[in-house]
Amino acid sequence: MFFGSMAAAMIGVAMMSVAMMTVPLLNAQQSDAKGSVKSATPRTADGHPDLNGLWNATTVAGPHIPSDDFTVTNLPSRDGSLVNYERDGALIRRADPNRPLYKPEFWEKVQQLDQNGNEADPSYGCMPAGVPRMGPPDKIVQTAKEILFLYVAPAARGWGDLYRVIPMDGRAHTPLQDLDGTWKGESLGQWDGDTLVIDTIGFNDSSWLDYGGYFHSENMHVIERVRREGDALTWQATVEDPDVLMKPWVMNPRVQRRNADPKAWLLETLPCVERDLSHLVTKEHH
Amino acid sequence: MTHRFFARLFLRGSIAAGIVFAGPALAQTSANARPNSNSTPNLSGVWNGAVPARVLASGEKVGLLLQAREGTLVNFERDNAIIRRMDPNKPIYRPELWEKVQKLDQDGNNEDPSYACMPLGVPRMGPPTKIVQTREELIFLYAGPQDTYRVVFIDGRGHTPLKDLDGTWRGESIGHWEGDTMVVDTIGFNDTSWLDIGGYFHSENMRVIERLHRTGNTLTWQATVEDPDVLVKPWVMNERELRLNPDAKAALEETLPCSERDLSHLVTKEHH
Repeated sequence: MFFGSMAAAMIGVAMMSVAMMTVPLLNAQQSDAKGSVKSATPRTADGHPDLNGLWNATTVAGPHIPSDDFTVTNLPSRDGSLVNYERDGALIRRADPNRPLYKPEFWEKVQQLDQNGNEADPSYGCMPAGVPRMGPPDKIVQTAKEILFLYVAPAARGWGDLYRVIPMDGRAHTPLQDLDGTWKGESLGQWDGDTLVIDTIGFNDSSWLDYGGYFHSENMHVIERVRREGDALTWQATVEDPDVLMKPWVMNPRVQRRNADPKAWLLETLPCVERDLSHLVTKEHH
Repeated sequence: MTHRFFARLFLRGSIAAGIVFAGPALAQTSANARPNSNSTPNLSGVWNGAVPARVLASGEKVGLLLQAREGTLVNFERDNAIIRRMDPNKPIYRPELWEKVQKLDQDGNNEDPSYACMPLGVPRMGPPTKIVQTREELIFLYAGPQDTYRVVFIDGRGHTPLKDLDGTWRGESIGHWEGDTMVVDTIGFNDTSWLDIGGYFHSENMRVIERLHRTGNTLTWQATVEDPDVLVKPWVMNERELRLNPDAKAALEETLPCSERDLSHLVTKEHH
């Protein structure tokens, strides 16, 4: 758990996002002079979609545009309050039928990791979440040669306000055997029409894909697809890891809204400090 | 030792960088590169070129950062701390705080926040490893000792009033050009971070002015700490120089995450 409690973390995020949320929803619609509710997708000088900006107006699972009610959208729980969101959020996520399918010889390992998740999940020991668990970025800086992904680190995204540098210059991957396995790997980007496709290899085998004991091998290959339509950014990742998975895991897409406030900024995340583990009395893993 | 061994190694190295380096000249362009459409200097690039390797008698390559009495790794940690403590350029605290500084210093292994995997914060995190410059902002990327970023607004906005800012490790940074020098003004700090080893704490009213100047393929970074609550006068920190990495495909190496494992095994109060 994080900075004393995950609740504190999520409430911190909630405060940040709530403060920023009302403005973009209004502006996104008002700024469209053509009369259509959906805004056009701005483009950069080289003709590609302009991904620059803060994409932190909402963070939700699923390919839908979320409710404007922050609590309902971000902290789903049985009664729409904060009281049970931590437990309920975990239950809702576990009910999702979209899971990675491991080879039968790993089923027991996955189950054991899951059952001991509070100790085995690296993000619970303040380790980084890594790709793809760190999800879509909160801010994108796009130049002709590279794209920066900047992250703030709430809840299950692990330690630190991290960044990724994604070269767009057409270079090839370093051979896998020459890469030290890392949490973020080596990412290369290219445009597939209007979709940014990020190809990442060179991982360690320490990170997890999500709760549930979803480990992976060093041969994992992650493909992220990022697409802007109006002021919505859709991020979707696919995990290929034939060493441990029966077939690639096509993760649920996530949609983020652009923060329309040009002066909006990313709130610094409190550093991760592990203080809860020794106080946990059950193996329930949020 | 563990990850922290290397984290500290890099930390100490980067703090000593500006003074220590006298590396071979890299391929240089004589004029400062400028973006095409305006007249401000272009600070974009990977600025880690100032870490030349030195080959030891053993054939081992080490950075010049690791200064030690016989040029080996054996004593570098202790020797580097001694070298840094010999530097006469120190923050001058108000007399009533001298005892506090000394106590923090003497118990540095427990008190120094960076030893518990906390962020370094500004200005201790030093100059960035990579800069990406746009019209509206400078992105500072740091590769080690802790990978993180700063966003410096250069769009002419003013600071948020200090009372409305939650104190953070990195504060709120606003930049502007003074001639060809980028001046980054930062307020809004917590009072948890230190300025350096030595018990150099600060207050929440600290203000840090960083000056970045590019000359050819050399970047000079210099920070001044203003904190009248605790300092007798502003602390003008030593300049550091960084070289542009001429490799257009140079990538930043990912730093191992910090994991505190050593503290319980330390048997002296010596603080590196």
